[in-house]
Amino acid sequence: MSRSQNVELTKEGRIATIALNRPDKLNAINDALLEELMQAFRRIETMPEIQVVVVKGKGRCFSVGQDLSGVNTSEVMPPDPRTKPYESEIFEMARRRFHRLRSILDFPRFTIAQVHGYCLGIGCELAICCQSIIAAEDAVFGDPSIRMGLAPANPLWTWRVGLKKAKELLLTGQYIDGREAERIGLVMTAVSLKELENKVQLEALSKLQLGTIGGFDMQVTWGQFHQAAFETTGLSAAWRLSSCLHSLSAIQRPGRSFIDRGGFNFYKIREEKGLKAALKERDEPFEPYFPTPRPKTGHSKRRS
Amino acid sequence: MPTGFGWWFKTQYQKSQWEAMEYRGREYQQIIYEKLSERIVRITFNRPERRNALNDQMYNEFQAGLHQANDDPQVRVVIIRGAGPCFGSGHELSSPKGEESPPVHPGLNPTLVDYYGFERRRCGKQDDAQQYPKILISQVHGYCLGASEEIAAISDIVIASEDATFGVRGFTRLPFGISNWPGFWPAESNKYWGGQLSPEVRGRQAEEMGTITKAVKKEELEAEVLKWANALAQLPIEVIAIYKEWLYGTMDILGMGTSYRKHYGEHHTLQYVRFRPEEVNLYKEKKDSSLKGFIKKRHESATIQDKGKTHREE
Amino acid sequence: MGNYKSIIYEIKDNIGWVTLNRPEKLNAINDEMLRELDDMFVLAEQDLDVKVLVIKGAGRAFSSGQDLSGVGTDEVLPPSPHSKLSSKAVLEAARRRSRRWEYIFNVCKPTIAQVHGHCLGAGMYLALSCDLTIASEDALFGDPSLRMGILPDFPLLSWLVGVKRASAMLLSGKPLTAKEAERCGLINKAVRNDQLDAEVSRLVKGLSLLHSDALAVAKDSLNVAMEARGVGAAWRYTSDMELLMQRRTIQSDDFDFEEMRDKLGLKDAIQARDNPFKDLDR
Repeated sequence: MSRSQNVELTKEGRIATIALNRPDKLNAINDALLEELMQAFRRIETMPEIQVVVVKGKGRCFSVGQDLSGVNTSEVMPPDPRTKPYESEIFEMARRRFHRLRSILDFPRFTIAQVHGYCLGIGCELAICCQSIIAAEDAVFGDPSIRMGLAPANPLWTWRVGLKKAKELLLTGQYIDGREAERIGLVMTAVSLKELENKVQLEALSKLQLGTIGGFDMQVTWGQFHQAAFETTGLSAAWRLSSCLHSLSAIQRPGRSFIDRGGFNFYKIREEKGLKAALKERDEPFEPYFPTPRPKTGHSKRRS
Repeated sequence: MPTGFGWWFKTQYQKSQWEAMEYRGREYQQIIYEKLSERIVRITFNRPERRNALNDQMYNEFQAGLHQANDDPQVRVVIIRGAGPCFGSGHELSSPKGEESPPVHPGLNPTLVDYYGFERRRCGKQDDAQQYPKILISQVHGYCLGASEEIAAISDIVIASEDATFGVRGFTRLPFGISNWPGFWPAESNKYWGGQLSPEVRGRQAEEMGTITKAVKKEELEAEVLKWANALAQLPIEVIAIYKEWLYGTMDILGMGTSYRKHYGEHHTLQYVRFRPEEVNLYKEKKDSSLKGFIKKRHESATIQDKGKTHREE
Repeated sequence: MGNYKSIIYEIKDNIGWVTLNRPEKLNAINDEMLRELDDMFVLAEQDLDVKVLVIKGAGRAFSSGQDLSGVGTDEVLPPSPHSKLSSKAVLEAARRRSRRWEYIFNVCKPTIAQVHGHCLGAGMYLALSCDLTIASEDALFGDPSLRMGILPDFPLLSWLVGVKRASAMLLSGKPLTAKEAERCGLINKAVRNDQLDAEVSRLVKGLSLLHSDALAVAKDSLNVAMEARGVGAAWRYTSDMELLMQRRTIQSDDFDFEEMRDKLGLKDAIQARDNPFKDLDR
């Protein structure tokens, strides 16, 4: 169908599949991938015959989240505070991020995230904005933002797993596997990697079998009313507030910021020792307290 | 005219509703109203041959029963249950023309104004029942669908048999069903909303979800309900009334009332629906093969065969 | 730290350890304990050395809830419906009570409740106002307030477990076991009794590696999900309804806890309160 560089959009019958396509980078999401992802969704909207969208990742995992290399990442990563960014830039970026994810959440089709391997950070946000998530048992979910001094920007977690579990995961930045994710309601079901594809296809087919009073028409219209229910319970207000707080946490003015008071300075370490070392230093101190489950797919040591 | 809860029963415009819901001097024909004790009333939907489907008369009698129990000064608890094979199968789809229970057939082509009034009358009754100042316990066995599921959803305590069935395979999740309520956790947990399209939830699963109070073996159902009713009937009337006012007040702050009222709009979309060629068309099926045939076909088409095992087997 | 009588407050390795310390009374919360907790929270919030707070109970339980003795409990308990206090005074006291939970909920440092044994009434509110609640398997979470004609003044409960579960808990007064509480999202984790210390220790040590700034903003970012849902309005509404509850019409056969206590003593009054519900209790 269409093969842009970083995202592959295919369709078969009434099911479209969006595949994140940077397997050599574990589908790390940079500006280009993000833009192509949004384009893929926009294209599907112009195809009325498509009723289900499956979102997955090529290669060893769904997505390790934001590309933390700093190259072509201005839409996914806040700027290095040492470059003295303007507050307004950061708030504007947070606004765009909110609108993108919100538009995925209220996308007028059935969305299913097919998750294997790592599903972290903004990759995890993408997954929870889909209506269903089906995961491999050893998939790894998490959002380590706080380990980099950033507040989580997405309160949708509390809608999916409840306030207590959302705090447990996001205040510690810890990782959980597919089985645990199923237990707490983060994903619909966790299956063996072998069964994953089949399970997702069955789910997609069952969404298509709409022997019901209003058919697909009703699914879409009622889906939009459902989005209103999210709003009346405060989702967008919370999301905007969270985005603002995330921006505040990102502003990190030198001299006053936590970085200068002994906090972990991701940018500095990346500059001095490289991305891999920076990631290691970010997560290693927490291993004794919150051990990371290791996916069986792909290398367990290499993580972007 | 009935007194007590339900603001709109008092307005002039609703006079016809008062009369329909008056309990004084009335002989119930489609419900059974019993006083199990000074403090406990039990209302039984009594149209087992129609699977306790709610037509206008039964709903009016149900409302009248609630008013009667409310006006009874010592009553604290009202048990709701269904006679025969199930709790209830929702609004009667094959009600005669002119009745307000079933959804409006698109063929009638109502004006927007008419439709608005209709929805407020039809669904507002449910909204009102949620304001009931005494304890409601739903005793659920068999099917509990549609408007009947909503009655269970607005009850304070729901005790169901393990194999009770909430929702219908092949019918989309209700905007306001036993999931209490869309936009809220745990309803938005991926475990449940992800399963939105096949919301046939058994009693045991509903208990796990936390959307009903307890699931028990069918033979223990009645005793369990009476256990709860007798215990909760110890609470003073005023304590119950104020507690309920508080609880549902906090839910309203949370947007529950709005969530509920927005679903009238969803019903309205049914007026304009058009079916894709491959879909099962309710109205055509009813015409061609009767209601039973439609239900059968809908159930079949919503069941995916997977290597001999039925997908979505509970 | 501090000259506290009913709590112990120590700071070790950037962690503030708070112990409810009336073990002979199962850490029942009286006015003195409330004052000391208020004082401690203010100090802890301003203390840059404190990154995480842990609250636990000395002795056999976390807390059996409000002290029901009637002595030194004018702040923690609403006045009896027979009292001659003005509505304004009753409302103000109710407002202070719900503002306290709101304040604790929003303390700008992560708070952990380490729960064992009974965790009832206001004890449960305290444990649930903390960000994370870890319990041992013998813990019991419940709220018998309605049995005493007191409004359970904690609206956050239905935000945590949904309205059906909240209603079943409050109407019946029936406690949940730790495992049940974990399953329904009331608490984070239920562990074996002998693992509780280690589990909480692991959690707080991990948390204390993070920087205070990040933790403060991150916590706020999650609490806003509750704010946007109107929890602020709910706290306020709750104190209004508490006043209404205290001004209700008393029927002659209503259970009167104060009367029972004066007649039979505290222990027997509690039993008289719970007896009618024993079919539902564990």
